Amino acid sequence: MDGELTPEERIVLEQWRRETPENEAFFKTLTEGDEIFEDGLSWIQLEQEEGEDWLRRLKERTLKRASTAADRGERSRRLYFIYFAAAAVLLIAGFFGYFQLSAPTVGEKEVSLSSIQAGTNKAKLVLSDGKEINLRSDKDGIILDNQLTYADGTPLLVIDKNRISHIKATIHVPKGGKYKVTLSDGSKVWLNAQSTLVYPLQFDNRNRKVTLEGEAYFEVASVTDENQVIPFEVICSNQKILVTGTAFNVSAYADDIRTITTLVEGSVSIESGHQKVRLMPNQQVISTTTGNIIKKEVDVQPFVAWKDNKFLFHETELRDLMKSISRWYAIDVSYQDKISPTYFYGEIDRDKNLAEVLRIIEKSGVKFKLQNSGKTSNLIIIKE
Amino acid sequence: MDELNKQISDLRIGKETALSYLMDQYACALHFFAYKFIKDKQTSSEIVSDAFIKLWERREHFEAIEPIKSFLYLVVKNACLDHLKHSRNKYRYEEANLIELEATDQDILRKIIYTELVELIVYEVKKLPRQQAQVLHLSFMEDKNIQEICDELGTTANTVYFARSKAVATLKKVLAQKKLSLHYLFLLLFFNLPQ
Repeated sequence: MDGELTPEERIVLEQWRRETPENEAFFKTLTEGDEIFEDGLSWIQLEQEEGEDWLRRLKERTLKRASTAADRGERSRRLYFIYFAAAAVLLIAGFFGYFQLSAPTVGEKEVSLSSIQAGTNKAKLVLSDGKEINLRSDKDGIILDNQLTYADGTPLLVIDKNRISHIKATIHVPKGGKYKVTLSDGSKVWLNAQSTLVYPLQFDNRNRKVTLEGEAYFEVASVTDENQVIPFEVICSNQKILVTGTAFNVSAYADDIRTITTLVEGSVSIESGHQKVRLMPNQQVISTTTGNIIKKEVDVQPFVAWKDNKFLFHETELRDLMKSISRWYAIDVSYQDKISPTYFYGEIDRDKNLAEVLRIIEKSGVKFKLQNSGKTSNLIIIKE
Repeated sequence: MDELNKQISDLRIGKETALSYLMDQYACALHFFAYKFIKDKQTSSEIVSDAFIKLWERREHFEAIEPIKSFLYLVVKNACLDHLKHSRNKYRYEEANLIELEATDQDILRKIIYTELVELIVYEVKKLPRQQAQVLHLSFMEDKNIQEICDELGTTANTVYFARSKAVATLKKVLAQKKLSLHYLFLLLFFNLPQ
């Protein structure tokens, strides 16, 4: 604890001080100013005011909250290994990416960020009778109300009435797209970029079942038949969500080991593996491919803001944030260095072009480089 | 460090003893960090408790202590800004409009290092010889704020500030004699900063 710096340590310290003016200023704050001593004394004063058992009381309260923070069916051990594996893959990918970078292939060139525009209304409708339609991008949604039309009533496709109930529809929203679907029962589904929804054009009277991969916001209409509530089910990779009239968001991307359901209104129950969880508004359940379930209280806004065409970040980790960016701007994202976890807060309109969005994110010390190889653009994230 | 690593893997598998351990290590520093920001004891305590709950909810994400510390400080800092935003200092907040609130890695690391150094000073003050400690104690540790001391001693704020700066000088001298500050600073800087 005592003792002087060794000559080597002194050199390291001197070098660090010279690196940036901020380092030097910080060094001066630590060694020359009175602030730090004053703070030391305020700290002691605070301790005395709070009393000796402050820490004990805080721990008691916090541990109580932690144990009621509703983590049932905890089997994190397996998740633990998955994360190690994930970390290893990321490292390797970073390494590989580095070598690719140092020897750029022909045809790869840097492109201007502002040339990459935000996503728009874009989707393809595929019917089980073989019809395929690219949906118009000047319309934002489709609806089945007697016939299949765009949300504003523009005719889309005429189908024989007797056959409607036998047809399954699949809506593919590509990267850089979004679309809205109103189902035959009046339930509304907003589909985010890179998402697929499979549903019967006409629900029958016994159940309503849809399948989702990707992200969607649901406003489910409450429907009864002879006083029986007809259940609505959303099936995705790790979860089956049972719904009775409610609004919620589901994120179930194939490239994310998590399926995240966030309840805004009403109530849903979720089955994942052998476990069942019931959600109240402002709660969220995260289930993973390994069979873990975590339930927690959340501020729902960041999870549903995309529906109102906004990115809203709240303690959002860089990699999660970049996944949203990659889907919405239809670009690939890779990491040049091992970047330590960085968390973001803030709100950005989704209709801004990529350059405008990245300019805001760059303020937190992350740097970007964009390369164009063939059809897709690759955004490379560089450590500050 | 073995103990710490064991606690971190315990945290990941959901052992509450690990959460308890981390609170023993970091809660006081975070409490002071928040208090310095918002000057509200009750709210500071709540913010610290919330931060540990958030850590608990995300426990499977953490593999080392540095990201845990960064996370805790960042969450506390942001909660403080939220608090200020919702109470009085609205105008101060608006320009910091949204994204990231200057929360770069470097920035939060500096705050951690600074707070840890303050913690060291606290530790040393508590070890001071009685006489020197009394100087400090008399000037401002009798559980009173500056105004109260002024009232009690029938003196001006200036006098109290003078006493305070004298106390600070004493403290600096003590630390200088021990050659502690620079060496500790070195350890803090180079074991916290990413290389």
